[in-house]
Amino acid sequence: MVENRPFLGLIRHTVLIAGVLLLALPVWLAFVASTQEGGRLLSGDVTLWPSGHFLQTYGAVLFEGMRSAGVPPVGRMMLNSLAMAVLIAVGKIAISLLSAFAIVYFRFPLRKTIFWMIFLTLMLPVEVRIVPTFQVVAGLGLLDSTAGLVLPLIASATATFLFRQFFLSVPPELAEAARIDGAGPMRFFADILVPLSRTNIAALFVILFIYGWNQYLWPFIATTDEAHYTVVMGIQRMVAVPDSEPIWNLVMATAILGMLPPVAVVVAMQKLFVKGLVDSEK
Amino acid sequence: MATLSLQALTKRYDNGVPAVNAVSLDAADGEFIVIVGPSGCGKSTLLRLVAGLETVSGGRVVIDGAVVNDREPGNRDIAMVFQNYALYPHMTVAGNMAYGLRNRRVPKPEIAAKVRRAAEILELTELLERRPAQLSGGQRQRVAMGRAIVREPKVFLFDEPLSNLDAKLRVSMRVEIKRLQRRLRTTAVYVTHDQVEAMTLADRLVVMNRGVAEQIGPPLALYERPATVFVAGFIGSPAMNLLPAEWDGRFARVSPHLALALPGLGAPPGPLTLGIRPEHLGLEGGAAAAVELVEPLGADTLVHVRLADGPLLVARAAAAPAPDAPLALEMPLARLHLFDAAGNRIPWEAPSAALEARPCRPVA
Ligand SMILES: Nc1ncnc2c1ncn2[C@@H]1O[C@H](COP(=O)(O)OP(=O)(O)O)[C@@H](O)[C@H]1O
Ligand SMILES: [Mg+2]
Repeated sequence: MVENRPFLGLIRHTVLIAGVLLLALPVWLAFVASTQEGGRLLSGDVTLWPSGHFLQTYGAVLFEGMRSAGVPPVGRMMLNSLAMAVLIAVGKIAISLLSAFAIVYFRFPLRKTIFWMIFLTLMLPVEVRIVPTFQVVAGLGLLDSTAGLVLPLIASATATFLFRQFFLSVPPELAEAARIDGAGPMRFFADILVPLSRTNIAALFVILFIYGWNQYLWPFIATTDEAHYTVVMGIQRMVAVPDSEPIWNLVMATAILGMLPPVAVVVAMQKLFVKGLVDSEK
Repeated sequence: MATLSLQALTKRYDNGVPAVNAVSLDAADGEFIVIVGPSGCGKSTLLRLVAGLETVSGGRVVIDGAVVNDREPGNRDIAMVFQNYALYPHMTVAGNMAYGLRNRRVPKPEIAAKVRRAAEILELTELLERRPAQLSGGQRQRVAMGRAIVREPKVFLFDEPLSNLDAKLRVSMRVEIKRLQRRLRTTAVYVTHDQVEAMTLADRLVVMNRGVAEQIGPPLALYERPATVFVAGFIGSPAMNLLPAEWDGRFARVSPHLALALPGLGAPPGPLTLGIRPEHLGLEGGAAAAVELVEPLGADTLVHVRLADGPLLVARAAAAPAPDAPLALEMPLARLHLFDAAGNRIPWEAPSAALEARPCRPVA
């Protein structure tokens, strides 16, 4: 229903702007806090405008970190987060593409059963299986390593299901034409299915990158070495300092910096993302 | 350039009913075979068996003297044009045509030359860099053809390639396909449910019904001497008039008021079917009938006439009779087709003496 009455337009904009303000306010406050002097925040004296300590605070988190809390410089943690998020997203997409390919295009015994087993793992996120997962990863000697951070998170029933639905909507004649054109299964997969899934892959990459970037519990448990800290963990460490008050301006500056890469990914892939969620371009 | 031979080819899907039942066929080098039949009769299945897209349940597919039952579609040296074209949406026209050659590791310059030549034949040169989504239906159809001819396969397979086009384009593409096949002299198997398409394209026609090849032969032979009631009713438009009758040894009784003398017919008494094509029905002299409907087609007119207390027939006439005027329907004995209760043609030639006599006569 599209109506064009000025009064309704006014209401619409008011509601939308209020929503934006509501969502943006905490981010703004975090930014404001990150530009204050460390002590002022604890005095309960809150302002809505940034003050002059921007360079100081950001310089500190970027190049020194917070030694008192055992937190390395943010740059290092960002790289760790980036590695983890990218590996999780890419790994999940690669594995889901392959398993959806197997489920849709091959007839093998227990195909249905296997599909439903994959589906069942939806009910088993890391939080639920954290103890056995920890034991397995520890047993493999993967604690405090990128592989240990990434592997337990890399299977994805959701992505498998999404690709399965997409593959089912691809006309079967395409696979047959490729067979007649002399393409084997993997060639068909690489030359035709993957390029056709491009927008779906992009949309999933955005979602999964953010999922990976925001991982909290698993990195917290699987890493003790500060060289492997992620940004999210670093913030947790900064807040949970023993025997003293957290230095809030540094915490907030880290949080703001930690928000930038997901934002960058969303902005960069916005077009493909929307396309991937809306249509399937066949 | 190759022969294609199907030997008692059979396909049973999981439900056990044979979709294709013991079909045998020998196509000569360069022959254009058209498989025609109603929807669901197994045409596509037969074609897919030849292509290797379905596994054979019984019988053999032989291409150029080699049994190919166990060969992958890519190794059979065939090319197929699908009803929905099945073009790769993310590749350009040139990419679509080149894909099969690339997979066969043909050297790049050679691929480019072949694509260019195929594009010229099909007038696609301007469109080589476009994607399928940027083409009209007819252009997509051409690209699908281009993808088939660029490989220079031993056999072309077409599965209803024109049925997604509008009527006008269908006619012009039909002519073009025929011309192309003549020019390339490649053996072709073409599936369609459209009997006009079938008649105009085929060197030889295979009429299928429920998985069985009812009759195989040149289009006009099938038109003139259909082997079964099914073929008689399927080939020809408007369809042949088929009248159930009761044969008593002398007369075939069509209705209470009409019986036909069939001199020389040796069949045992019982039910049979009389067939006569609309263009062979005369509208003067003969059995009383009434006009029910007139369909002027321009060149000629279709007249629907009902025999007194009897069945409805369609006649093709040069001019429309006056509406509601009483008519006398004539069925020339020489043009009559006879089928037994099982639907098979009864061979019968009317003795020449009988042909002179009045063919239809009312029974007292
Ligand atoms: N994959 C399949 N599984 C089971 N039955 C099928 C399959 N494909 C076709 N059939 C059946 O086989 C018969 C012939 O189908 P098809 O060859 O597609 O007919 P046509 O192309 O002449 O319309 C139909 O009764 C159809 O239901
Ligand atoms: Mg079909």
